[in-house]
This record gives sequence, C-alpha cells and structure tokens, in this order.
Amino acid sequence: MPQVKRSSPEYYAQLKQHFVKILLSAAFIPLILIGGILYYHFSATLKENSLRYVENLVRDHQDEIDGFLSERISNLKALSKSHTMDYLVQGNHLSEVFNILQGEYGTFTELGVIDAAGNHVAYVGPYKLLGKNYKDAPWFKEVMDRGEYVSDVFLGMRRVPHIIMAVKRVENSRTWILRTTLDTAKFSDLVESIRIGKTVDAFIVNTEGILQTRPRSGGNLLEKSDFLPGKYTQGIRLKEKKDELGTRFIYAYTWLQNRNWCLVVKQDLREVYAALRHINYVIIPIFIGGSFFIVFAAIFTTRQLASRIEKTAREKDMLNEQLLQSGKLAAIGELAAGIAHEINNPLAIIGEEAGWMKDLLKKEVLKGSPKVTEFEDSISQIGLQARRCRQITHNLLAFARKLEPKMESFGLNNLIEDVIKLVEREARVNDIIITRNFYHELPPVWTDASQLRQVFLNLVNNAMDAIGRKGEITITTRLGLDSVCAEVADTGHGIAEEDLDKIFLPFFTTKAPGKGTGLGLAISYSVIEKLGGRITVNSAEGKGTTFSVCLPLGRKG
Amino acid sequence: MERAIRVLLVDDEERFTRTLSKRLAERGLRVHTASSGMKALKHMEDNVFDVVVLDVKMPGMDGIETLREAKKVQPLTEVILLTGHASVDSAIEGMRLGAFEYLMKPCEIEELMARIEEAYAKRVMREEELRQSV
Repeated sequence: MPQVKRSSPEYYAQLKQHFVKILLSAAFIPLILIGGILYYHFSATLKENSLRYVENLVRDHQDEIDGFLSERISNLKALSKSHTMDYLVQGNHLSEVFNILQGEYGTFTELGVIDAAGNHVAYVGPYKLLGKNYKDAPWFKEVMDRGEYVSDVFLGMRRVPHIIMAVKRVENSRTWILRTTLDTAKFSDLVESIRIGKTVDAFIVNTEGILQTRPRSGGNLLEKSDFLPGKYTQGIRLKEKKDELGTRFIYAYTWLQNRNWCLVVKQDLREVYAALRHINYVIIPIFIGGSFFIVFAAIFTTRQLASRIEKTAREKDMLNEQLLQSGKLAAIGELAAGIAHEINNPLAIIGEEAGWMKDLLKKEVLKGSPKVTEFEDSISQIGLQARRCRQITHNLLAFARKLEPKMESFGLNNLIEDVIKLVEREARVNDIIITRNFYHELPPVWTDASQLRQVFLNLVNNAMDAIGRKGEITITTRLGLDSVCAEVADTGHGIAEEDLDKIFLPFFTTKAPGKGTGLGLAISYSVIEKLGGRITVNSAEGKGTTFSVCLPLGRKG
Repeated sequence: MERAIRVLLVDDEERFTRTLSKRLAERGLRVHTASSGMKALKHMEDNVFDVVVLDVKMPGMDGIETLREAKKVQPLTEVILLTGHASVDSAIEGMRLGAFEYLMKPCEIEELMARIEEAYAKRVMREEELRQSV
C-alpha cells in the first residue's frame, strides 16, 4: 500500500478497497474453483454415462440384428438342404415351402430357385421374375463363390427397398441357389426399436455410408448418411462429431457379422447435457444470489470494520488531543492557582485595612463629620470587592484542584470520618445528630481522596442546610458487586419533585440568594463521574433526601 | 468577661497581622503577633495564650507544623487555622492535629471573633475539667 496519511479519508477508502478485494478473492476463488471442478466432473460423468449407454445399446442390438439375419440365412440353408432342386421346381412345392416359411416368420416377400447358369427356374412372390437370368448379377457371383449372400438394401428393378438373401446348395453334381428377399420394413422396425430418449437414433449403414434403415432424425433409406464408418473393425467404437448445423453428437457403432453393415447409434449431446442444464437452472441463480450476498457482505463488513477503525483512530486522536489539552489546562491551572494564592494575601490585607477603617469610623471623634456616611459606603465597597475577589480566587483554586486528580488508595469510611469531623461541631450547635452506619470490611478504593472529601463535604453541608435545626443525618457505607457505595440521608425538607432532575445542573439552587452558588452538586457530579462513579438522589418532600455515591472497585490506571 | 482573651496572631504578612491585631484589640482582645512559626513558638515559650490564630501557608515552618509544635508547648491552647487555600485536605490534617477550627482567609472579623470566643470558652472548660480531676 502506498503511504497515505493515516487519518485522511483516502487512507480509509484505500483500506476499504483492500479489505473488499481480499474478502472477495477469499470467497470467490475457492467458490469458482470448486464450482468449476464439480461442473467439469459432473459433465464428464454425464458424457461418460451416455457413452456407456449408447455403447450398450449398440452391443445389445448388434446381437439382435446379427441373430435376425443369421436366423434367416439358417432358415434358408435348412430349406435348401432338406429339399432337392428337383422337388422344389416341381408343381406347387416351392409355394408350399414358402408358405411354411412365411407362416413362421412373415418377413420374406418371395422365394426362388436359380440354377447354376443363373436362370430363375422356380419363383413364388409378387413379381414376375421366373426365367430371369442372374448370371451377370454381382450377388450371383458372390453366392457362387462364398456359398451364401446377403445384399445391402436396394431398390432394384421393382423400386421397393429390399434385401436379397441367397444360399448355394451343392446337390451331388448339381449346384443350385435358393434365393429370397426380405421385407425391409420388418428389418427397419428392429433397428428403429432402438429409440430411447428423444435424440437417440439408430440406423444401419453399409461400407459406403448408404443408409440401410431409415434414421428417425432424417434422411431416407438408401441415401448417403453423414456418418461414414470407415473400414471394418472389430468391437464397438465411439466417436464424437458435429453435424453441419454445429450440433454435436456422440456415435457408437459396430460392424455386423456380415461385415458390410455397420450399426450406428447416435445421441445428441445436448440431451446428454440436459441434466447439466437442469442443474444449471438451479445453480446459476444460487451462484448469482450467493455472489450478490458475498459482495454485499464484504462491502458491509468492510464498511463497518473501516468505520470502527476510523472511530478508534478518531477516538485516539481525540484522546491525544484531550491529553494535550488537559496538560495545557493543568499548566494553566497551576499558574492560576499560584496567582490566586499570591493574591489572597494582599486581598486579606485590603480586607483588614478596610475593616480597620470601618472600626475607626465608629469612633466618636469622627462621628460629626458630614462625609462620614460617604466614607462608610466607600469602605464597605472596598470590603465587598475584596470579598468578591476572594470568591474568584477560591473558585480558581477549586478549579485548579479539579484538573489533576491525585489517585490513591483510600478507605471510604476514614474519608467520610474526616468529613464528619469538619462539620460535627456545627452540627452539634444546630442539634443535628450524625449517625455512622459503616460497613467495616470495605476494601479501599482507588480514587482522588481530596476531591471525594469535597464531594462528601458538599453532601453533608447540603444535608445540614436542608435540616436547618434539629434532625438526623445518617451516613451509610456498603459494598456492592463491583463498587463501594456511601449514602448520605437527611431528615430535612426534601426536594420538590419538579426540582429533582435539575439539582445537578450548574447554578441551580433553592437556597436564598447569596447563600449558595448552585455549583456544589454540579461539581460533585462531575467529580464522581470523572472518578468513574455514580451519584444519585432519592427524595420525598417533607421527609428527607438521600444522596448515594458509588465508586468502582477496580484499581484504575 | 473577667479578663481579656490572650490571642497570638501568626502570619508571614506583617501588615495583615498588624491591622488584624488592631481590630481585635479594638474588640477587647489582648493580641500578640508573630511573623513566622518559629517566632510564634518562641512567643509561646514566654507567654501563655488562650487562642492562637495560625496561617497555614507560611514560608519556612508552615501552619500545620507550627500547630503540632504549639500543641506540645501549650496543649490547652486552642488553635484556629486560617488559610487562603480552600483545601479540605489541610483542614482535615489540622483538625486531626487538634485544631479548634478552620477558617478561610480573608474572613469576616465578626466570624473570627465568634470563633475565638468559642475557642476560649472551650479552653476555659477544659481548664476547669483539668482542675477538677487533679
């Protein structure tokens, strides 16, 4: 942080910024990291699951389709082996056999017998294919070479998609071929049944990528698919690919037993991630809400923290200021006290001189002089003004003492006893009994004994004033939880209820003019407060007043 | 009053003691003055006083010290403390040491007279008690 003056607003602005940055990064970095990692793992798992899923789909259906095809081939083979060519070409035999075959499975559209020269010698089915020669057809060559043949789906001359299936039979010296075509609709149903979810699509392509079944997602039978399986490989393969619209798909594919066809299951990745999207609908608002909360909390706490720091710093500054101020005041007070003290003696002399002159004026010799009253007036003014000055110097001295509390450990009982000694004689003169009701195990208090004496002297003097003549003052000390307390109770005239909340105000007095300054209780209040204590009053008019002073027990400073 | 009250005024301000003594003498007291604690004690060795009016704040030996010594020399003599210092502490100290009263300076002559008379009455009473107990 660049150095900025500690108390300047820029410092706190910078501090706040700093705090906010730290708090935000402390909150957001782990949040984003955890969120990111979880999101990544979750999506990876989803994708993985989906891959496994399509893979399994492919595996299950591969067997089914392979089974379907090989079963048809086996049927055909069994048929060719259980009958001779001669039998099949005679009469209705082929038709009977076809009906049996059809009755059992219902997937064949026709059945024909072809001799070694490629001539269609017998035929059952909807087309007029009898006598047709297949010598040059590629499938004929293949079946002659390999013994069996399953074609791709094709339209052929009949313009209907179909699959040719043929088996070769070597019967003694004669070779012949049993040929049938499969209804592709049945076959397609089998593949299309692999439809789970909205976007799982299954179809079969040949080595050139020509669709052998109709994919649900579009594209027609025998059209070129956008998926090219490549060369034959064993096992199930997985692939991820984008279509021309940019949608990503995952593909699971495997070659069927005949090695010409490839079973493909594809799934839209959007569907795979749909669960993720659902979660996002929940998580993103939570994240945004949480972020707002974090930002708000960070700014809020920072603001509070900064204002607290600022307040503390301000208080410290103020305290320093006060210390400086009170140091100055103490110096001024000392000076004032010194001056007041020095002035007191001349004032006393002035007062005495004036008094002496007054005494002299009373003498007979001067009585006749016409100006004597003028003299008397003048002299009493000197006395009066000297007393006024004395009041000022006394106040100055009292003020100077108030400035510097001298803390010491002191027993409250002893302190009150001292005060009682000062007033006892006057009390006796006025027929006032002072009763001590002391708690003798009081621990000493750490306080300014001198000022505290002044306070109790004020309280006792007030009590005596309130009583006037004949009455009782009871002084009680007791131990509180964390304080020591003293009560000064009198049997005087009490305080009017409307005056109760004013008695501690400076210059408030109910005494006759010139009798009280109205400062006694105000000073007492400020002294007790400065010493960390409390002064309270309880009064019933006509019955008496109780002042109670409590001082903290804890040793201070 | 069968005889004049014997008063010793002690203050370092000589003009103060002089005038005050004149005023007290005018009111029928027999007044001596001393300008320091030491001088006051010396006076007390030679003369008996009924009441000593003692300034608390004096250079050299202060009023409290003088009070302590004076009580040794003449225990029956009552002491009234005078001070310009409105301090409760020195008042208490003085009262502990057996002072009769504590007055703020400057004080009214009537007030001082009244206190001196009270102090004298007390001294007479104590003398009486002492005489009876002997």
